[in-house]
Formats: sequence, structure tokens, C-alpha cells
Amino acid sequence: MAYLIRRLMLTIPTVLGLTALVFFLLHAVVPSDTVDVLVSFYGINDPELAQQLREEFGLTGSLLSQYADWLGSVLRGDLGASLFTKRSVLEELSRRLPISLELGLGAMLVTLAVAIPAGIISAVKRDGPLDYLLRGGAVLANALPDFWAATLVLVLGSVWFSWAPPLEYRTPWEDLGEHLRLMAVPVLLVAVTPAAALIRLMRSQVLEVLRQDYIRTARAKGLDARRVYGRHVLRNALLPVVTFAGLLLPRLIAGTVIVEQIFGIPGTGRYLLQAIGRLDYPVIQSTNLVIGLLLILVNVAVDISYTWIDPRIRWR
Amino acid sequence: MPAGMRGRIRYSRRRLLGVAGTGVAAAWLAACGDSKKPGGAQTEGVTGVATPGGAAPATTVVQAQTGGIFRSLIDEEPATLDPIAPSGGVGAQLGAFTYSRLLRFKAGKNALADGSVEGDIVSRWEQPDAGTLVMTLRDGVKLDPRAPTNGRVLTAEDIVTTWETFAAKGTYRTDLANAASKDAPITSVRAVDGKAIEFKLAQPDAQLLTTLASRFGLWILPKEAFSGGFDTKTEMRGSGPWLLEKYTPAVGFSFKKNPNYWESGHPLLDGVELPVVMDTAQAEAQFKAKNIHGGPALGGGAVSETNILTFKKDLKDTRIDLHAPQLIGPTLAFGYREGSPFRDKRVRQAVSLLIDRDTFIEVFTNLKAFQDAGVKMKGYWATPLSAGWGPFWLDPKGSAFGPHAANFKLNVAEAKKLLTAAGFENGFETPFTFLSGSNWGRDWGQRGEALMTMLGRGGIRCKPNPVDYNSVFIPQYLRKRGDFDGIAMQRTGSRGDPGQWYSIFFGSSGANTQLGNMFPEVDALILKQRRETDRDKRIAIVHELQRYFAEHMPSVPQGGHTEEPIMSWKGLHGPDEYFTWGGGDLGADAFPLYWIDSSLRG
Repeated sequence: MAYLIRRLMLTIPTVLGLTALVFFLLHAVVPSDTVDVLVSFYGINDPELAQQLREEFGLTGSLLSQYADWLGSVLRGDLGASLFTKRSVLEELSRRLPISLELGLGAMLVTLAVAIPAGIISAVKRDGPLDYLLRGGAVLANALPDFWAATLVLVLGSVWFSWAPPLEYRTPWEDLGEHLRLMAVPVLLVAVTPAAALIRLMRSQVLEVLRQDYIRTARAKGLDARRVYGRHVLRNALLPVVTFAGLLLPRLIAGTVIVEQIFGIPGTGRYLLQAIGRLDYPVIQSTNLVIGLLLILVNVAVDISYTWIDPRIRWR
Repeated sequence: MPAGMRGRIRYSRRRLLGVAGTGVAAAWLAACGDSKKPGGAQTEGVTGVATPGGAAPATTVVQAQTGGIFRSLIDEEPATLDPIAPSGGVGAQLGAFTYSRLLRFKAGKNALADGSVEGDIVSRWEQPDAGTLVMTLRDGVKLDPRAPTNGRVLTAEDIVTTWETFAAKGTYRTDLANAASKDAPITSVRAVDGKAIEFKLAQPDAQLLTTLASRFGLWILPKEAFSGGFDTKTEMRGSGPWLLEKYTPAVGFSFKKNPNYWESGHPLLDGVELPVVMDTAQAEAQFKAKNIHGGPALGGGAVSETNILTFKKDLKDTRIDLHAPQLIGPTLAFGYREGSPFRDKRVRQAVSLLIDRDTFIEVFTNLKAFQDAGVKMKGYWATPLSAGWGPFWLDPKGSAFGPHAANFKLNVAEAKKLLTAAGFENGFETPFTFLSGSNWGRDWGQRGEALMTMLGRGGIRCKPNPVDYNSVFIPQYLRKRGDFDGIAMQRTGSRGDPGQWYSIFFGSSGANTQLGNMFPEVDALILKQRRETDRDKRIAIVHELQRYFAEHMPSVPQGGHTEEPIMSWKGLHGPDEYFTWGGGDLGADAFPLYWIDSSLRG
């Protein structure tokens, strides 16, 4: 518990550092600003309008005061609003984050469901045809960029089967069938690359554990294969896998922008990408804050889970 | 052409993704001396446009049907739905669906759209003197039936309140409001009575009516928009042909027909859906599945030019319609700092002489493949004005252009002579800046590569300088008015009026000028055409501008355009019949005229 509290307290300076870095990089390093983007074709001839907009957007104070203002709003629970659309960032993230979470979590579940058994099988059947098939497939899948695979699926699906995914995103409450029809393919596509990496990781971990004396002892005691692998091998091989999965989740949530774009999924990745293109400061800053927090919390959860997987591990 | 260069161009042979354009089709070919057979299909399922007075098109005349939902697409998320406040191109285009303008461009039916204007919500206008314009609203132009407008009649007061906000903070206010720019005509607007509006003008302005008709002009919002009645950034309540029924960010728009629209009998459709589709493969897959019906769209047609011919072969019930060349004009802008080689006219002429325009057009539009398939497309050199401007464009291949038309023709030997005369016998090195992203098209990099290769043949050795649009190109090139080093690939946007276009991109006070103060003669000609209210004389001055550009090459056009092929399912009627003027709008000028038959319903 003390460890948990200490870890959570450490998130505060981490998050502050992250937000400050993003803020100052955006404002100090990028030579143009939101207003330049907004009035890109007319600003030079209309400095009055540009100044009006800068005042309206709160971009005229010092960088430190702008950062302090933003931080103050965040601490009051206000993540701000898009400078372009005026839509609340909190509202938008409330709508989009669950979609990205679904995409990310779905992909992670598929990854784990496929990669863990495949990795075990590959290790157990080491140097056999199945092992080579699984390893070769993993290398191939790892080499495929997901955006290329997504485009290929769309094009070949269209050419060979006259297939197209549903055109508009619908929530599960609006139309569960359409929702699943839209999300199924992107979830599988997003899962391909991490599953490939995890198969190989799982294989090497299982091989490492299989070499241990306690496994020989377990076999010598007459335990059946199911108990040996399920109780002894899997649990000991899982630690790095849990770390991998923990680090994967935030990437899956925020890094699927291209798949979101291709399939028309209104997720967080697209939201952030558009905001970056427009230099929409509140959206960029607040979305980075949320994703950063998520990453930190997942890391804490991963650390805590170690103690469940391996009771020998105790955090002080 | 050296084999190596053709090999590089073959490598860089990427197709344009088909930026949307509606506009005038082939009748202006006749104006350019084209003797092609008027009208009719050149290939089954391909339409052109009948020349004025020519034969009727070969497509069978079918009775228009009302009803149905037309599914188009939008390829970009709008920053805001407010057509007045800074909004970017797509935002203004969306305004056309639900808001009205005072005037609009007349669409051509199987014929040329000549850029003339007619009333939108205005029934008539008159100029009692040079400094006054009085417009009278149509009877019974009703607003959105939902709160807070509740279907009330639009009045002159709405025009005045819209103007006041526009003049204070409209993105395009410098084109109309004299308070924002001394070159702009309107000094004040007042309501004479409930229907009549009086505009006071600082000076005569030939661009005024066309600017009011274009999407870069004055969209009319109800006064409730300015008193907190609704949030214009996220809602729309206008008097246009459509009502915004639903908007889900990142998903799409649903518009339904405005039952109170002033033009009775229109729109023919019950509604229009615009899903946000940002990926070409997705758009084409959806088109194949008939989830998107085709036609011109906001940001690009559903089927890219690269794939149109393949789709035509595979999908029997589709049609290719040829719309006018885009008004967007890619150019090579020069840095005019002290000591720049491009301050010498001979060097600029040499740059132009090194560009093989016909090959450039062929490579980036796949022109020959279309022609071999029986589609009668042609390539048209930009001057830098695009051929899409109809009678305003002067064909450099025509006899009327004059001796400087030679500066558009590939002539490497002459280019080298000019460079030698300018003191660059061994050529010179120069930075060549272009966008690293796809802001101006996915093949922008390939275009740059092709141009650098062409210039290299004459000894102009280009150092590639790819940059980001927002963080580098805008502050260091776009807004520098020629104060940069080397060459920068630029792209001029479209506008409703060619004079306005020249003014913005080449006038010394233009918001996006490539020339700065370097060419006072350009300013003089731009002003001259702006003050000339006789249309034919004005066209002649715009021709003079093009001849000046040909002689001095203050900015070199990159190549040119072809007609824009747009693919539709045959069940979509309208893109084959109606051709709107560039600078007009799909939502207001085209879609209300479209209809779909039973093959696309349900």
C-alpha cells in the first residue's frame, strides 16, 4: 500500500513534466501558431483580425502565464475547448476515448489470446515444422505496417468480394451489429503486429523457463503436461509478457490513428492528429495529459500485477 | 527527352487524387478553337457538354424524380461550421448547404456556365449611382423551421447584422469591407426597409457581384446567430436548400431538404449524406459497394483519377463526366531577395522554357490513357490562370496570345542561351522548397522531383528542401511576399473571380502574394480590370495580364490541367447535366439539381 501511494504521488511531477514539455515545445519551438493556421491565407493582410483572435484565444500573455492558466483550469476539472470548434475537450475525449479503448483493448485481447498459446506451442514444438511456421509467420506479420495491411484488406476485399465496411460509425447502443461489423476488421488488423512480437517473446520466455530445475522436478514428480505448463511454466513466463502488454495498451489507444483514418473510426488518435495539424493547443495539451496519465496508471497496474504473478516480489 | 529523366518521371508517375471541382465543361473548348464534335458520349458512359447551340448530348433525357438520399462524401473534418469566422475551405463549402448568399453563379445545363450571376435570396439589384448598390430580397425567403429561427422570414436586418459581424471578423472581409482594406468596395450597409438593403461603395468594383456570389463572400446568417440564439460553430440555421439534421464529428453530416426553400420544386432529393472519408481506398471501396453514389464531392471525387478507367471497365453501370479544369493553380514562386538570380527576367524565362508542360500534364493526369479509352480530355497550359476560368483564360497555344507564348514551350537550348546571357553560363545552384506532407496533394513531392529534374537539364541545380506546411511553409514562404531564397512550389487556391484570384496571389497587397512589391505593372493591370465594369473589356484586360506574365514570368506556372473526370453510378443524375462555375458551391449550386433513380434508392 505504501508502495502504491508512493508510486501514485510520483505521477504528479511526471505529469507536470510531460505537460510542460509538450506546452513549451509547441509554443516555443514551432514558429507559427493557431492563428497563423486559422487565417493562413489572410492573416498577413489583416493583422487586426489576427490580434483579435490571439486575444480571444488567450495567446498574448507570457508562455509561463499561459501555461499556468491552462494548468489552473485542468486542476479545476476543465480541460478547455478546441480553439477551432469550441467543443469541450472533455466532452470530445469522453466520446472518443472509449472508442479508442475498445479498439485498443480488443486488439490487446486478440493479441493475448493468439500470441500466448502460439508462443507456448512454438516453444514446446521447438525446431519442428509448427515452430518454424509460427516464427516465420510472426516475422512476416511484424514486418507488415498496419496502414499497408489495412489498405490491402480494403482494396482486396473490395476487388475480390465487393466488400466494404460500414460507412458510418455507430455506437453499440445505436446498432450493435453495424458496430461490430465496423470494428472487427480494424481490431484484428491492429492486433497483428503486437501479436507477432508477443509470439516471439512468449516463445523465448517459455524456453527459458523450461530449462529451469523446478520444471524438471515437476515432471519427475509425475505432474501431467497441463499442470506443468499451466501452473509452473506459464506463470513464470508471464512477467515480461505482462510488461509488454502494459506498455502496449497506451500505444494501441493513441497510436492507431492511421487505422482510425482508413476505417473512419472517430477515435482519440484522429482527434489528436487533427489538433496537431491545426496547432489546436488546448486539445493537444489536454489529450497528451490524458494519455500520459493513462500510461502512468497502466505502468502502476503492471507493477502491482507482478506481485500477484510472482508472490516472491514485494514492493517496498 | 533523356531516358534517365523519363525513368524518373515514370517513378514519380503518381496520379492526382482528384480534388473536387465543379465547373464549366467543354463548351470553352470551342472558344479555344477546338473542333471536336459537340456533345454526346465519346465512350459509352462518358459525357461531355454540348457546345452552345450544338447537338444535344447522346444521353437519353429522363424525367427527374424527387426523393431519395444522395450519398456523397467529405474528405476533411471542418474546423468549424461557421462560414463567416475563420474556417478554412471546407467550412465555407459546408455553409453552402444551409446558408444563402445574396447572389449566386448561374449553372449551365448541358452548356457553358459563363460566370454570370443571378439572385439567390435577392430578386433584383440596381445601382442608382456609382457609389450605391441597392438589393431587394425575394418575397418569403424563410429560415430554418427549428428554434430559434422558427421558420420566420429573412429580412434586411439579417443582412445588416451579418454584414456587421463579417466586416468585424470575417475571414474574407478584406475582399469586401473597405474598413479592412482600402481596395475593398463596401463602406457601409443599411436596411432601407424590410426587404431592401443599401450598400455604399468606395469605388466601382467589377469583382463585387462575383465575390458576393462566391463561397468566399458573404454567407447570410439569421440575426439569432449573433445574439446567442445558437452556436454557429456547431449548429446551422439558414435559408439555404438544406437543413443540417445531424453532425457527428469525425463521422459525418446528414442534411435533409429544406421544405421552405425559396426555389420551389428544389431540392429534388430528400437529403444528402456526407460521411467523413479521408482515405482513398475506403472511398473507392464504398463507391464500389454503392454506399457512395459518386459525383463531385467536397474535397475529391470518390474514385481517384488513377483508378477511374479500371473502375469503368469493371463496373458497367458507371459513368464518367468531364467537369472543368480546376481553378487551383500550382506555380513556382521565386525568392526576390537582393542578389537573387531570379530578379533577372531572363532567368525566370529560362525556368519556364525548361518545363515540359505536356509531359508534366500527361504524367500527373494520365491523359493519354483517358484519350486511348476514348475519353476526349485535353491538356491546357496554365498562364498561370487555369483553363477552368472559361473566357478569361487565354490559350498560350492559340494565335491570339502573341509572341511571348513561346515562353511556355519547352526549349532547353533557348533556356541555356538566356542563362548565359544573364551570366550563368554554367548554371547555378538554388534551394527548391516544397511541402513534405500531402496538404496540397499526395503527389506534390513527385511533382517537385519532376520539376527539379527538368530545371536540372538547363543547369539550374536544385537542392531539395522539403518542409512542413504549418510550422515552416506558412511563416517562411507563404507569408514572406517573395522574401526567401530560391524557388518555392506554391499552389494558388480557387476564388469566385479571376481578378480577385490575381489580386490575392500576385497583387502587392494580396494576402498571399508571391510577388510582393516587385511588379507594379501587375498591380496596375489588376486594378484596371477591377475598375472596368464592361465584361468584354474586363476580359481583354485579364488577357493582357496573362501576356504580361508570359513575358516577365514573375511566377512560373507548373504545368496545366485537363478536364476533371468525375465518376458516378448511372443512377445519379445531375453531374452529367449541370456544370457550375468554379468558385460556386456544390451544396447550393449543384446538389439541389441532382436526383437519384431507383437503382440507388433503398
